[in-house]
Amino acid sequence: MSHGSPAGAVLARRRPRRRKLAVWLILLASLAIWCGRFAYLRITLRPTPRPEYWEAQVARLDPPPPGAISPSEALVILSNRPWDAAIGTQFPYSHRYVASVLELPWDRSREDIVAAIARFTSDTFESSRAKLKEALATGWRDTLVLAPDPTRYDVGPQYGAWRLWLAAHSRWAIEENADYDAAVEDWLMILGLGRQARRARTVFALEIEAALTDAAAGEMSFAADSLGGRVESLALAQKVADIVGAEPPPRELVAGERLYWLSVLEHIYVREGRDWLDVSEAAGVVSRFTSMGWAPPSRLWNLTSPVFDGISTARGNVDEVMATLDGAATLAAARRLARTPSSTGLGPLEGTPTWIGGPWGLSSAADCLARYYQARCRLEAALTLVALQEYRVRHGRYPDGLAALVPDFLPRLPIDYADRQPLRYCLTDGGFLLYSIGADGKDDGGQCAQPLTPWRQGNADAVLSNARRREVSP
Amino acid sequence: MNEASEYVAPLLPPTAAPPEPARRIGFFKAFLLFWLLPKRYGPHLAAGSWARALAAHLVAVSVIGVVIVLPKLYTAIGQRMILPQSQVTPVNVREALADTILLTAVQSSGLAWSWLPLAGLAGLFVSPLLVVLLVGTTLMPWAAGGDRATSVWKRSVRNVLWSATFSVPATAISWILSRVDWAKLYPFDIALILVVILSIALGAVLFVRMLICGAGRYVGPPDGPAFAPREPRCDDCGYPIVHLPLDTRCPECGLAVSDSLPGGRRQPTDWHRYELHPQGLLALLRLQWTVLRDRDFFRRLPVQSGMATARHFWWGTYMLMTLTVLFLYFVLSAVWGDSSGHRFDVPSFSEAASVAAIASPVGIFGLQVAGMFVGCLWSQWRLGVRDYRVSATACYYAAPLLWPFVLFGPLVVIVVSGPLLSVFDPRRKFELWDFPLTGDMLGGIGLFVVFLGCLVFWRMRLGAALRAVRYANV
Repeated sequence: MSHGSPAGAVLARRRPRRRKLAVWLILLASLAIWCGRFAYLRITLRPTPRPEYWEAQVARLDPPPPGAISPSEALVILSNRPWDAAIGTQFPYSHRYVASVLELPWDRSREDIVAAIARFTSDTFESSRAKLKEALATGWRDTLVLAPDPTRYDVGPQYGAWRLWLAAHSRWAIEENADYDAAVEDWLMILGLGRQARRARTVFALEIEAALTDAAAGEMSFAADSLGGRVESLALAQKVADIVGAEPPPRELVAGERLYWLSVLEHIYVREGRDWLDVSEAAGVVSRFTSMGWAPPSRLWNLTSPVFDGISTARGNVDEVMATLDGAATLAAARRLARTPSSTGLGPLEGTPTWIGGPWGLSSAADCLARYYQARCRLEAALTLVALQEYRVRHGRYPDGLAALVPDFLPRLPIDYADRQPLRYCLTDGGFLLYSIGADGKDDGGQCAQPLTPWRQGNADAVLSNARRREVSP
Repeated sequence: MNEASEYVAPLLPPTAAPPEPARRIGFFKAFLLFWLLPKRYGPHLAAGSWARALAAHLVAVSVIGVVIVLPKLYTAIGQRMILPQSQVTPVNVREALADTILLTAVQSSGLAWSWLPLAGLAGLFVSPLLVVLLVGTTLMPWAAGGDRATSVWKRSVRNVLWSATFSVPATAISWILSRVDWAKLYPFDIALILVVILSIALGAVLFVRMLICGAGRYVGPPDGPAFAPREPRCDDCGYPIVHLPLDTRCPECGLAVSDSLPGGRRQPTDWHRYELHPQGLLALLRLQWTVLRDRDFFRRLPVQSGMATARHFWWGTYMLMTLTVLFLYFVLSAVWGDSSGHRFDVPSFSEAASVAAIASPVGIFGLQVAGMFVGCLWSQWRLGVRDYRVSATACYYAAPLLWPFVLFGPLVVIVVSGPLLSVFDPRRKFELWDFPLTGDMLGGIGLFVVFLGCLVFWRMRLGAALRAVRYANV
């Protein structure tokens, strides 16, 4: 039809309009297909984690010596708690009672001490203790389940319970029987438990080790006065060194934590198609971390995944935190790091990744390192106190400096973890002062307002020579 | 009169003058000045492209977002922000967004419908456009310019999109006001509060002016029912009266042919003549009563012209309604003041009246706008009126039909907190045909019946009015 006719003119007008419409329709259809495919993949694809691979990686970090017992055997031994049945029937709170045994002067009329003596004189306790001692001689590696939830380390409570009971047993051995060898054995067992816990190389494991070390060091300090001459300090220090072992740099102390987080990232990132975050799964994981324990929300939430970073950025953040932790080689540095959460990019939920670019709980890791350093410092001080008492028994006076203790009483100078220098020591009227310069890293000449709690924040320095039990029940 | 003029002409002349050609206004010029010159720029912008209108809207919304919402967002989630608030970068904004999404997902994981918050989150992005569409459609009567209904809708929506550029002066003024140190200007704080209130009021007036004046005029090609000659029809039944002798009657309904033509029964009202004269107020008051009382008023009303006059009548009616209601509240509060003083579970009359009085200007405006929208929609869809101006003019003049609704407000206040409160007390028991009733139920039923009566009255009279103008030639 010619364009000269009216109908032709109408057709000629309509053609470009139709063409334009067709282009729009094709564009819209392409967009719809792309969106549909995007939505389908985000809703159907799921992460493909490799927990076994990461568990093997963790196992290689700090393997137990050859001939070590298996993790399941260790768990059976640790779970065999002979005190539960008897104390649980006589007294309502077994742990509270045994914790109170460590406080106040030893008094046989006290209900808790009566119960504790009943336990410690029983065969069942002694046999359980002997089994634990035997297991500690070979060592083990705890079962570490790298599932993305906070209950991954379920042997933690067992360590806590044994710590209290072994410490109480050491006190009982000294107070009732003057059996110093048994007490030393208890302390070494506590330290041995800490050493086993450390094999996991996670923040939580480090925290357990710090608590165990602190308990052993505390009991050792309380008994230091009476130990003089009865226990050879050099031998004790060497045994402790053998158990505790060489101290790795901070990053390696929590190297398992890094692997754990990398395995968690695999639980929440889908690797098909440019490593995107499974927001639903991530929300479920965070929910479990915050103890809400809810099931993951609808998978429709995954449609928001483009807002989040990819797994490579998240891995980079984890490594960045590990590198930052290397700067926390002293107590002062670790405390500083723990106090600066905002500038180091702490996420909204303490101890969990933010999944979007901010590093995970650097603050809690640094804080844990600080507690670990405090415990190690107290252990150094406890060994020094024992050595000082032995020195006094042999020479009738305290030495002028700690250097006099090496090598006859100590294999090396004790370390102040606040700055990695030797612990501070000076003679006073009829005694001595042994202290750490504290978390502020400044030597204030041993000023300590609250000697019972040397690491409390208000104290200028941490005086470690005035160790004594609490006079009043907390 | 010669012989030819004694018959009805085959076509009546167009009712609107040829429109001004549309011109292109520079984007930034329009973006910055539209709020000042809506009558000048608005018609051309509304007739422009969708792309420019959408771009202007998005830029304006971004201005609001960046200047107002973002700092609020940062403050709201300040605890969880990764970097200090001063560092507003795209990365930080994305991280804050991701943070919010993850937290919402975590919180929603405990819900049965955990996708619902996601839908809400998506709605945040879609809702501004939905609001634009809703407002644009509602304001169609103000955009009637003689073009077709689809064109009116497009112009109205585009005008609303452009109206978002009001954010520029609004943001600037808000910023200036936020910079003022009010404490330093203490003795003059009342004056400054007045300045703030006046600024807000002026801003509201300017914004409403943009919305309802921007697309009030049609520019562009003369494409619409008002710009083409029309076939004359009988005013009552729509029968084509072409070539009928002027002195005969419609063969269908018997209406005199001359009544359907210019100079026939549709004559300007007193309001048309005196709206800008001192007696205009009297004409306004009289016309209120005429519209309410005279069922044939819309048969005598010219609707093909004088839309500006009709609009003024609408505004006059609005002012009258608002002032009447405020006056009523004032008088009733003076009379009954604390009439519900013995009841502590309901507000006193003066309290309720104050709230209602504050709400009434906006409420009445909304009511009238809704009435306009529903009336025009009905006239277009059910009665087949092609020219939107005709529907709009009829609806403008039908505004007084809302008087019963307007007076319904004070009635509600009287019932819920006035002297009749004792009658409508929930503790009072009645029996109506063996059906037990309480006082408040009686009040509720009474109000519902009155409301239903108002609705029926409005619906019937508006229907009659629109039917009376559907075939109007004048």
